[in-house]
Amino acid sequence: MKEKILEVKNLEVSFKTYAGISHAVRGIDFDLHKGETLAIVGESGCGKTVSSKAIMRLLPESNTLINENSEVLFHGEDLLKKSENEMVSIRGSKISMIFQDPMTSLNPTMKIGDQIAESILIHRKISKEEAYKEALEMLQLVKIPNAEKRMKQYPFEFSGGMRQRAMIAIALACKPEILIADEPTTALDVTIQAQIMELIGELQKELDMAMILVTHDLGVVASVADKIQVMYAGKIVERGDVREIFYQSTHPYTRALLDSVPKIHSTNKETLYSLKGTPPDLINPPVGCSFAPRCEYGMNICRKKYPELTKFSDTQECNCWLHDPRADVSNLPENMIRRRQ
Amino acid sequence: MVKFIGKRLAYAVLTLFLIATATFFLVAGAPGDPIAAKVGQMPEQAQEIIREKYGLDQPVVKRYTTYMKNLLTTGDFGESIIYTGQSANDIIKNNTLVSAKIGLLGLLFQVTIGISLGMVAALNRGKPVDHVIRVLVVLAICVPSFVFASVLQYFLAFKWKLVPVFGWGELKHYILPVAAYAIGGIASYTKYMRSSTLSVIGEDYIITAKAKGCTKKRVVRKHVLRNAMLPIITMIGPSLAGIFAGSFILERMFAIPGLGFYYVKAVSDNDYTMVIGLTIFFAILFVGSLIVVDILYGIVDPRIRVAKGKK
Amino acid sequence: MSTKEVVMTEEWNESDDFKRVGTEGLSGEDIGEKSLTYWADVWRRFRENKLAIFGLILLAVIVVILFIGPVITGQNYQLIDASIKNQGPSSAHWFGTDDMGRDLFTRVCVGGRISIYIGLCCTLVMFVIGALLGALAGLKGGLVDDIIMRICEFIGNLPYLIIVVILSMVLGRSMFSLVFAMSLTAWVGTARMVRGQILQIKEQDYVQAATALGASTGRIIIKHLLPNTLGIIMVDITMSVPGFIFSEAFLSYIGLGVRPPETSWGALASAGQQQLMFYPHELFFPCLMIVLTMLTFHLIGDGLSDALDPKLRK
Repeated sequence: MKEKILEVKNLEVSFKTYAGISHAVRGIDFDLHKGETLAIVGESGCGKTVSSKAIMRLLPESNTLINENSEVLFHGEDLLKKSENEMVSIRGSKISMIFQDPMTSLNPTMKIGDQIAESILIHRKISKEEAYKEALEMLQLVKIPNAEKRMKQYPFEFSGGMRQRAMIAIALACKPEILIADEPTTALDVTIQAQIMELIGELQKELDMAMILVTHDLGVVASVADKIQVMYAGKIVERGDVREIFYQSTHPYTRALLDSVPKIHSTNKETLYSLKGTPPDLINPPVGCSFAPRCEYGMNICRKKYPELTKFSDTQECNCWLHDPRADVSNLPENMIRRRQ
Repeated sequence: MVKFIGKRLAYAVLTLFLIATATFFLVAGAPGDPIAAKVGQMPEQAQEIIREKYGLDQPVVKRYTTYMKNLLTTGDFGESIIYTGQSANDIIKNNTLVSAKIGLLGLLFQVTIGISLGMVAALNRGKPVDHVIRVLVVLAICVPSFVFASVLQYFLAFKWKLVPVFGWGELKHYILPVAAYAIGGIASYTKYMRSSTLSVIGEDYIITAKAKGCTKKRVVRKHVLRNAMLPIITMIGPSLAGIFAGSFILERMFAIPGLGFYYVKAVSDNDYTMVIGLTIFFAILFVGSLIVVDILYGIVDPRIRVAKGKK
Repeated sequence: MSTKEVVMTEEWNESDDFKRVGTEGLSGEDIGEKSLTYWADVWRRFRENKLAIFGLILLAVIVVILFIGPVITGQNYQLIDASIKNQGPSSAHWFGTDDMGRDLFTRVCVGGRISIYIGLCCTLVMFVIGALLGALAGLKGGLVDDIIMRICEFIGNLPYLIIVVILSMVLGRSMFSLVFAMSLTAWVGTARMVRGQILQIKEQDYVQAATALGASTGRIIIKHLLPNTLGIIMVDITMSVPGFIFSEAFLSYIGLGVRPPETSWGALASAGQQQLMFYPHELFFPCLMIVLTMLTFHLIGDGLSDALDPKLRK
């Protein structure tokens, strides 16, 4: 196994709002190894974007509260305790991030070439000419045709897919060790989505880069991820490697997510499965399992006490009362209840 | 780009033409005899001569065409009825610069101080500095310029004798009028720059810039500033145009021989020809500055330049 | 295990706790607090804004004084008495007297009524014309929209002050001509704003859904377009009234405002300006009223716009 480069321990993030304190992330742990792809999957509001921004320290200082005991260890050093100056040299060069909406994520009054070159110039002491040469190479690397001409153009002259490629070029200009991709394809057409994911995958291999892919779309995850963690209401409910999650998931929420991905080969004329209800209020988070109200297999215990951790293998584990020996497991889908380790 | 400018110029010329026509017919058609004050009790014949001199014996339309021809060929804006021998051109030549000096100086202060204060307030949102600036802005907006001018005049000039009460000619005469002129504008620019900066700060590309590793200073300098200033530039246009008009009151209060001063005088004297001439000149200044701003905006915001050029 | 957990285990009825319950009872869509209608919510936010309420109360006080004041003092605003001219404030004359011995307080009250009346009239005209044309342009689109927008552009390119001055000169100085001159060019901003809002709403899914469901145009206008435009119109109106009061004052200063024997705050200020050096109170009181009134409208307007869309809160 390659070396561990990122370790997140007990990350708790809350926001001060006018209605009270919203507990967006309620204690999550995970790690990332060199070259590995971790997918964080969940609905909007589950805390996945907040977690990734917390790692980069990009959350607004004025109303963000991060627990003192939370740690984000990058090569052993806690990013949460670093000064702003230190973070500035890490962002963009060691850890990069790309965002969901390429239309609004690029500076509208700055040429694309300038935006890419900026990435390079602020982290390395090289001449402007050299930086622009490298910027051009980046643009070519992300397969934008006519790159030289495009360098001098503005974002509004690019199509959605091209803008996202430009964003990738900006993020990878300094060959970072980790790329955090926050819903990189959500705002794009389906056909373009595939291209972008393919591009990201290729570049990742070339640069031996680790990636955290944040998305609500399990379909996107299948071909790129090594391991997956499923988040709901600020907590991780299940994690495992990609095959385990797709073929043997053990949490009802994961199953629901998988079921709601439309399958091209399904022959039955069924209505598209959709999960009823909405995620809970994070200002007063529920004391038991947060998913209980929407879970068709829910039990009384689920609402009273948070489920204990159950491990199924070295890589797969989940928090669900269904794995307690006393649980009612009638009519559960196949291979959801397995022998525990 | 050239196409863009050309189109705006053509449009401006059309507008000016319409304004000139409308003004002429409005004023010419106004009730009352333009030369009544002048002729008073003069005998009929004398009146006829005078009427002829100013072309008032002709039908309105003929007067119009004569005037326009004159204007376009010789640039003659018209002669005063009340003050014989004085033409609008004289006034324009001698006094425009005066108004311009106050106006431009005032505008300079407005824009620089306003933009700076606005940004400071936005970058320190919620902190004491922000609150202080916002209170000052509200007060400045609610106090009309002439009230402020009066207060300044009373205390600084009259009571404490720091500056002359009125007059023109030396540097010290600039202080009160420029200050009074600038105050309202400073408040406006501060207010709009603050909200523009706040909305830019909330945009996604600012987070991208931070994620790249830009320091706060750099984010402000390279990403926030330019985008926040864009909408403010549109404000400069009418401000530029208003330089001449806005000084009406101030020029009267401080006895400054500017364009506004004479315009007001012409209006209150019912000096019709002068009013027509000066109005047209004002319109030219106004529309002209709007074009300058449009062009400026095109230069600063690439989206407009490229989009309009392609049309 | 802590004592608490032991207690809980004992309270567990194992068979009961692990009985399947599914999604019955607890609906994920339960709403925490009672949701209010849109306008009740707006009013609640407005009420909580102390400055806005202060503005509202102050405005009410001012209006009451303007109407009740002269009744209380019993003075006549036109009564000339040269023997008491230019006096400072006293118990007989709360604001003192002007250069013709008239009671300034009463004149300020009467002038105030006229200033506010002009402000309201102009705003009304501006709103009616602007909202109508803006709505027309937004709803009909196409040629109608084009024409109206061209007109707006043209008028917007005209120097406001010049137009007002010319019109005042030409139409004489009656109340009508004053209002006409000031509102002639002012409606453009409102029209553009209303049009923009309608264009935005028209494209919203819920309007298209309503149309698809067969709602008539009238119903769409009343139930969907109007409530959403009303908000910004209200803010626009609140901010316009003081603007017109100020414009009228400005005109009075250069000799074009209301004609005597009527008076306005602007006219009073202009007259007071002449006496500034020796009797500053004659300028001070009208100006004070102008500033206070503008302040109240400003606070109310700010409060309204904050209440209508807290996301835009600055």
